[in-house]
Amino acid sequence: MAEILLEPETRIDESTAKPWNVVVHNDPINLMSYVTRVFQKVFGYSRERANRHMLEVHHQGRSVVWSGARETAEVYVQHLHGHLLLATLEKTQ
Amino acid sequence: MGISEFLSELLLQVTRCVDTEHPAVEERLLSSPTAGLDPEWEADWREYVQPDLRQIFHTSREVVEGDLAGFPEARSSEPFTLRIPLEHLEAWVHSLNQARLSLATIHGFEERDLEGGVSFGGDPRALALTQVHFYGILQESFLQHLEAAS
Repeated sequence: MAEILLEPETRIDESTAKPWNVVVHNDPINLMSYVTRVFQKVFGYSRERANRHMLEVHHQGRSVVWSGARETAEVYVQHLHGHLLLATLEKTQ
Repeated sequence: MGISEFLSELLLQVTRCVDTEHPAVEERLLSSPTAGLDPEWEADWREYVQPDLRQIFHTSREVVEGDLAGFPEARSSEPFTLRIPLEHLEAWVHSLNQARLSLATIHGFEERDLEGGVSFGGDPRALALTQVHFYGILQESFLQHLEAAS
């Protein structure tokens, strides 16, 4: 008779499974060219992509500049604060 | 074309106008990383990250202060000259940003203030707005140099 093996139930921690967003908020004092350069420097983005995010921040008030694991997101937020951008960490909905 | 006495004074103010003791300036330079939504992480941030950020900001200002030491040269007259090594430009860009954010926070400048022209009204707010504009022009110029160098 075949033996049925039941695997233990695994639970996924929702807080770590869902990606986290690095969000940059608009600040009228930071120069647009400065913000673009920071995105290139911190994320290694092309000038076009960095510029796109900068314009989104400028026109929409915020831009999700990166999504992924919380630990990495925390490091990016720290780097962005090091460049004086208004950056926050948000859990994706 | 050199640097006038007025602009040399503004250059000397780059690091001096960063008022890290001002609560609102401190709040802007060390803004919340979660908009107050995660008090636990914010507490860790204050303990472990903010000291590093303060050090980054301080180091940038130290580089600028070093470049400005002895400026303008004694016995020299207008127009003055300031030589900034290319490898110091990142620190200048950062310090100019600190200065602009600090002045804007203290004087409550908003987007419409920056869009208007500069008036030499003689009052502290008008002078601060002139500084913000001048530092912005310098930042833009230094960013172009960095872009060209990379």
